[in-house]
Amino acid sequence: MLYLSLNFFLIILLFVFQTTLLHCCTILGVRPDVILILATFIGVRLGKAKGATAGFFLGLIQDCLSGVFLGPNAFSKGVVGFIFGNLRAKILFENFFSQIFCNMAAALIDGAIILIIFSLTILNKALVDIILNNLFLTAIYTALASPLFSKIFGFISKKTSLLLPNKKF
Amino acid sequence: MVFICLIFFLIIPFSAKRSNPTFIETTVVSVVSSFQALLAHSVKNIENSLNHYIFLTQVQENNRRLKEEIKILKNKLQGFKEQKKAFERLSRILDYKFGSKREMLLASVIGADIMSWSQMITIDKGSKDGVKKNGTVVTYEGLVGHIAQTTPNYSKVLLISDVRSAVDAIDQNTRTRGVVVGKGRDIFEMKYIPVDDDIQVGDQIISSGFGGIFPKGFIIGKVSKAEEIERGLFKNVIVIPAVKVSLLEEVFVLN
Repeated sequence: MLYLSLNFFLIILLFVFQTTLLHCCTILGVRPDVILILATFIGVRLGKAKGATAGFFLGLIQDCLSGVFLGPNAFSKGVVGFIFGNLRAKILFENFFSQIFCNMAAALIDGAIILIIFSLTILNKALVDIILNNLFLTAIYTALASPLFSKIFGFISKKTSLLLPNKKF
Repeated sequence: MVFICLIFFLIIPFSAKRSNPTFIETTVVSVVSSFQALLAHSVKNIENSLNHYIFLTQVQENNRRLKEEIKILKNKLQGFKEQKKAFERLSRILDYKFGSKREMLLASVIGADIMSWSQMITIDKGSKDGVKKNGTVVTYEGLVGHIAQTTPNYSKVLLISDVRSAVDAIDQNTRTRGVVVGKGRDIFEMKYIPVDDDIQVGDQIISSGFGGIFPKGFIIGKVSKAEEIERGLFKNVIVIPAVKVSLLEEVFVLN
């Protein structure tokens, strides 16, 4: 219970960080998606089942905060967690370039899924255009920021056992 | 994965049909917004301490006060201009005073939106403070947006720069009506301006009051480009916003 509460608290802090301090790092209208980096990180470390579940719940919180409707981020982050959980044996995630490549791919997958869902459900072409225009820029920015955040997540999980479960709690 | 797909297809129709936020959304927004408010207030306090006690205290304070006064006076001037126009057109709305009869609630901006393509902000006032859905959000400089979602203590504001936002507007000089839509960044497009209309660069665009959400007379921005499109029925009109939404700190909510 304590482990879950602390994890929940840490994730909430991450969302607060994404919506406040990270807002200062906006370049050309985009900023890195730290939540996606965490979903990829958990998928690679814990495997497809836990990766998909963690991604789904992270995305669900993101949906709750987005003010649109529930589902797009939950589904896309779940898929990302699942894909990278499946590929964990084939990826050397500690490698700097591999982290950039994986997160770039994750951001593109995530963006493409959201784009498809919005194209099918929201009849607002302008919104779909904006997402499409931001897709590659967000992917590049997220990928470039990913080694730093993966390092931070790795450090937190190593020092406190949060994010990735082990025997401490 | 199959489980996630199942939940996804169950959630989508349910959440797309809802008119009010669900319990889970309200809870998540409330929890995250509490921390956002805490962080925003802490940052503001630190910033204020630095500004007031380390730097030139008096000059800083005077400067801030004078800037505020200029903004208030500009806002009043805008109101008088509108009144003059109304009298000139022999309007029967002789007692109209810009904004003066409306109840204004001051709110601080505590967070931006989670998605970078979405132009929403979170403010530290909610339904407990009297904020209602679709309430208009303004600053001294002009129109900001409307309340898209409320929780007891916090609210989400859909900015007029968002692509989902559309404001029925008029050119203050020519009285031409159009619809100002967001472009997802710091420019707007004014749609449906006929090619034969003499809308000019520099003209002030204000809300028309049509549409039921935004009251009449609030400044939206200034025309920065008005050009004819070859074989088009309407002009391509670009509007520069009066309010820099990315720099918002405090806003007023009108109910």
